[in-house]
Amino acid sequence: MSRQVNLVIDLPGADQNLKNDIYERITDFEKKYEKKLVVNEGGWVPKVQKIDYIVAWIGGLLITIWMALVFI
Amino acid sequence: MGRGISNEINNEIYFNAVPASNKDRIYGMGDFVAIQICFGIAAWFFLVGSLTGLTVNASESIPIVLFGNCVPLILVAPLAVIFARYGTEQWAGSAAVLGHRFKDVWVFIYITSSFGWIAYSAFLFGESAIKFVKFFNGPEFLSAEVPGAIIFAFIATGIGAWIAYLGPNTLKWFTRMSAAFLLAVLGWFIYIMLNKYGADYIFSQTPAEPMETLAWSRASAIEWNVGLGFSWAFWYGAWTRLAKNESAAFHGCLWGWGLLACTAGIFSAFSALVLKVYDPSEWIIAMGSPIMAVIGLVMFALANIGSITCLVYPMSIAYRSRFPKSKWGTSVIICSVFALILENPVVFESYGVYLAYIALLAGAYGGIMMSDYFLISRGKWAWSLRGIYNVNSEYKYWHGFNPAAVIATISASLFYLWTLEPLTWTSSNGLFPYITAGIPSFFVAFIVYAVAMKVWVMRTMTPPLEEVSEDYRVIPKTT
Repeated sequence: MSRQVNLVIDLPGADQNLKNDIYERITDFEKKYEKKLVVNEGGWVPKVQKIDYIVAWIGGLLITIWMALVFI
Repeated sequence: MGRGISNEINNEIYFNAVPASNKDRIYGMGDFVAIQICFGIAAWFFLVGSLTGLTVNASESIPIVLFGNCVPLILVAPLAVIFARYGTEQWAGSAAVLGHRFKDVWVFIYITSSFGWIAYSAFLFGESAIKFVKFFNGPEFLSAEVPGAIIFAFIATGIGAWIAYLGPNTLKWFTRMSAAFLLAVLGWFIYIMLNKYGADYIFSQTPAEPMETLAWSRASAIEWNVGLGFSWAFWYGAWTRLAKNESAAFHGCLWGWGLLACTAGIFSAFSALVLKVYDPSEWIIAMGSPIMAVIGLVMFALANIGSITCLVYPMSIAYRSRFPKSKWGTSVIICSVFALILENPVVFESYGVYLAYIALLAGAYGGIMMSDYFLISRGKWAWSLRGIYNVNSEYKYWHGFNPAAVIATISASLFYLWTLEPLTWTSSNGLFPYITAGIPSFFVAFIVYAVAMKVWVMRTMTPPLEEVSEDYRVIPKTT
């Protein structure tokens, strides 16, 4: 992971303390969660589930059908 | 600026710049629903409901308001997941997709396009205030649209910006108080309207200003609501980076901004059908009661001034995060004062045109972000947090611009304008009213971005997490 570690924080206008804190937070994320990310298992918090998408899509589908029926 | 306010804002700017870890997360599903109802119920829903009620009848208005707002929200809802997952501020994180400089272009689009939302909120408050003055026989110049409504709109903008200037604690107190009041009063007004006119009367009314054909009426009403539905794409990250889990972020925003806030739009659609006017504050006088006039004014004041605050505050935070040397007061002024130019009757009457441009912009942004989420940022191509916080990382792309995102933005915009020209409300290619414009443009951006990334951009760059991926292959999963 040498390329990752060597990439410093470089944000326009950010002071050194802020850069240090961002660096620490990112390092923490990389240690704990990047390995989860590459296998699509989420990040800082528990991952969204397929059922969440299914519920939303069913809701959208029902509204669409309702509108289509009203138009017909 | 007092030291207390200064510290609050500096903490907030600081907090916004640092990715939010799981220990910083404070919002669950219920919190999101409450916040988004408060943010959602304002001029934008009242006015889009009015436009809908003037164009189609009640039985079509309800599903059109629900479809136009909920379906675009469902299409862009994974934006909530992205920022909950990475904890970055929305525009900082968007650099991974857009490129560091093209992200700045989108920040500019976000701030300038949001002046319209401030103007509509302020002017609707102005319209309700002049009705109130007229009802109680106040001074004539304050009960006329010009200059009365403009003066009240300026005052609303000033108060909203001032509350935003005071910082997060005042903002939280104000929005929590408003949310409970708004829901209670809105529910009561719907009950009174149904009681006064009756459901049969409302559903038997014909729209006052239909288009030349029924298809154009329906497609136009859908398009206005789609504009509002997609508009939330710009506002997810400010909230969901603080989510306790991705599901809470996903559902809280989806139903808070969607199904629940739609009650305001449906109420306004009914008002427009009964009273045959665009301005939803007209019913304050129509009801004919001093108590109703006072409560109506308070409702429009809280809903709209609260919303101005909810707009100016994150805009100013985003602006100051990008330009840290700017003072807080200056940032608030920059993010509010230009809205004054738009606070006039001509712009107020052109809400449909504004919504169409918002559908164009937010639909293109949403399409690109969703394409990246579903088709690109998987496995070793997931975002690198370190790259987001370094302007010379792989997310520099080509001079700070991701060519795929640029091409997708241009393609979606051109397709939208070819299908629906918002100023003249005409269709060059004849596809509108058959397919509308906002949702198809979203899919144009989605497809063009994915194709350009896969056949071109991804072949020229190293996957951001390739080394993590290689490391992971030699580490047993159990460790």
